[in-house]
Amino acid sequence: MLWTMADNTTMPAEFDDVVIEEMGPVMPSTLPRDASLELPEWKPDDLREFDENDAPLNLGGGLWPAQLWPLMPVPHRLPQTESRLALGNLPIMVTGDAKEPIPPVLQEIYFGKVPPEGVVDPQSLLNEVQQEDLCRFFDEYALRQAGVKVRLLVLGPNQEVPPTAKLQALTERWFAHEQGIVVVYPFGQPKAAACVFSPALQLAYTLEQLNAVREASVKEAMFATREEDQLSRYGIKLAVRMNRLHEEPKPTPSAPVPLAPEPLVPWLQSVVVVGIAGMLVLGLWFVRSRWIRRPRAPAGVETWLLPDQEMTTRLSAPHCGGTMAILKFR
Amino acid sequence: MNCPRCVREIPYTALTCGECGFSLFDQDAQFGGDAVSLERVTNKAGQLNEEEVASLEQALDAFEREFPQLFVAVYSVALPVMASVRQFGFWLLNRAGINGVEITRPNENGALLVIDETSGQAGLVVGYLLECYFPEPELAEILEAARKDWSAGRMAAGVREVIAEFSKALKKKSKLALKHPARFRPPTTTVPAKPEFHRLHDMNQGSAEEPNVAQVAPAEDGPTEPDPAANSRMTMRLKFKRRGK
Repeated sequence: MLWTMADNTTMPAEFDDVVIEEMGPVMPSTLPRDASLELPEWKPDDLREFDENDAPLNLGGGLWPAQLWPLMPVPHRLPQTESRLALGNLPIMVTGDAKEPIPPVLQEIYFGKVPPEGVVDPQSLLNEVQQEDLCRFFDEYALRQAGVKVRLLVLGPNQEVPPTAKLQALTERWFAHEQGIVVVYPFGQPKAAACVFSPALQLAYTLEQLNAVREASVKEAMFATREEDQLSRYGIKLAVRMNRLHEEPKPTPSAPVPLAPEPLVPWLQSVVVVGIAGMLVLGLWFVRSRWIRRPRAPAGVETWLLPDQEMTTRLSAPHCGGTMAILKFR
Repeated sequence: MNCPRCVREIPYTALTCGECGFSLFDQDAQFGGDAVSLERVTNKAGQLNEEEVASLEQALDAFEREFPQLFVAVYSVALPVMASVRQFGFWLLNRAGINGVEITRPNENGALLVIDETSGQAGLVVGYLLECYFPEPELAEILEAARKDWSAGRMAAGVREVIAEFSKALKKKSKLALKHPARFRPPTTTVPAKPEFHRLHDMNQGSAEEPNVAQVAPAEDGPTEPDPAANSRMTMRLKFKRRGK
């Protein structure tokens, strides 16, 4: 009886007579005899990999590497970004692991006419419910609320975008005068997804804002381990961020910036300064002249009156009784 | 109040000086009994030129604008050697009709500044209205303001100083008179018959006897002048007693 273990290794011959009931995948043996097994050693390729790629090792959500835990799904190795090709002024990423060409039939579906639905998955990498959910999400949050059309092309994990399908040109062809996003998403490789924004969208938002949307979508996808979940999170985040971007006040980078007034030539500045100073002086002079010529009270207003007295005469004098002071000045 | 001739104190309503018998008629015999016509600035001694006279006229105009009841006249003269500035000023303010002064400003409301070139004296004489506000010491202070200029021969400047000082003092007196009119009332003709302490004693005892006031008559032992301040105090006490009754 030949048993095939989960990691495609065969049982040793000495255990041929051992009857093992079929009970599904089994855990690796932890018998004491295994202690005599030689410990693995670092290979030069591993060491080089560590030196060149310091990215953390994805353990698949567990404490042990996936090779030692066959029950866990084998985590895919994150593809290394080999190149970033700028399309227009936006970077897109093309995976370097894509090896399989897309069949021509699918190429026509992917890169032909404008797809009617938001999710283009002719290979049925997503089930129908997942596709429908994403399509509804794109229609509601991206298209209806934000006015952005999203077309998510779901490729196989190792499929390569044909060189003839230029994504930037494709985006401009699909969304010539409207805001749209074309995402080429290799299934299970969110970091390799290419996200291309239409010219109208680039005019509506700044490059930093659009890059932030793309990076946020990739980061959101990386929280999940299953390919389907990654794709769902990617699409949802993309639609939500575009929706929020639409709600924010737009900086309108394409709007003409009001030009600062040209500085006056020095002699004109002097003329202006002298003119203002002259007007101030004239104003002060006018106020002063008005103050001087202000209507004053009649001359008799500021008068001083002495109370009338009942006078009697003396020394037979009618007007003056002789009250007098004498000063000898010489 | 002093007699212009003997400079003895005389009662406020004395018809003649009790000491020397001086009255205006004596001065009429010396200077003339008819009214004389004067300008506001009379330059008989030739101490002022025309410009100075004009400037003094302007100063007097300003004074009259400020004091609609009053006027000031300036008389520069060279009196005979034996003539007295005091007597001449007394006579002149009583007999002069001053041109350019409105009829609403009688001489009793005026002040006359007499400058005698001969004796080097100046006298400031005031009418009956102003003597209530300016006792002779205060008039002397006003004249003192011109001493420096007159000593240096600047007659017009001295006159302007006198007018300015007189105007300043009049404003103060006017303010005070509005607040305390009783303080500047002329001496009344009533004086208490009894000494003041007797009256106060009667008032404290509740006597219903009216204070015996009598017409002021020259005292037998000589002319006496009633104290204005004491008179005002007495008036207030009389009012108090009448209210009490």
